[in-house]
Amino acid sequence: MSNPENRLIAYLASNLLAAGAYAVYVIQQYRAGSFNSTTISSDWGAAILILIAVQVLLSVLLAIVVSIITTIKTREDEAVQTDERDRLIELKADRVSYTVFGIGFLLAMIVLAVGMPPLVMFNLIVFSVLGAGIIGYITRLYLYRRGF
Amino acid sequence: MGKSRVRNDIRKYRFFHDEMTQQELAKKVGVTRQTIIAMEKGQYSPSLELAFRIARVFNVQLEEIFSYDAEEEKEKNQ
Repeated sequence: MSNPENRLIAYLASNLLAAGAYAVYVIQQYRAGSFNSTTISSDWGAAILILIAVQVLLSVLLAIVVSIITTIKTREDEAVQTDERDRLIELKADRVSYTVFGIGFLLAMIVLAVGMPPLVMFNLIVFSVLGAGIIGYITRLYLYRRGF
Repeated sequence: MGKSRVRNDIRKYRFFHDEMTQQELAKKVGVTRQTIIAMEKGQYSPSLELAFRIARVFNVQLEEIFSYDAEEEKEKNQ
């Protein structure tokens, strides 16, 4: 597997871990009955900020580790980081990500419109962002392997 | 998705240039090795600029390395 592919897997893994950790937090809050509230407490904001910080750190760490391991294994010169094909793949994957986020946002607005608690809408938006990131990385991996 | 209609003889020209490696060619034209691999497999059609750079490395005309498969397009139009 090439270095860019390994890096993508590292980013995907960190996104999956972050989404998993956030899902656990949401389930805990749901069981505690937080979802019945008509307001969104500041805890949710703090949780998202922590999630972002952890995810960024994890992504950087994993990318460095994967890059070192791949370079040692393949002894490949990493002089060229991205080229025209990488940029095209990125554009196509971004388009998929935006679509996923758009669908999630629409669902969140529908949920709000039908009178469900604001926390459901809030979490739908958060999961749309996380889902869009994950699907974006999967698309990149797919395009890297399959070509276009 | 799938196979590109732009065909190329990059592999052949690499062979005739002292078995130039994909990495060497990638470095000379300023792309990653993965892009050269994808082009050789017919999975990626390079930009015109990249195609010219590759032709220049091998010191040949663009059409000698790259060709366009119009057969598929003709079948579609019929």
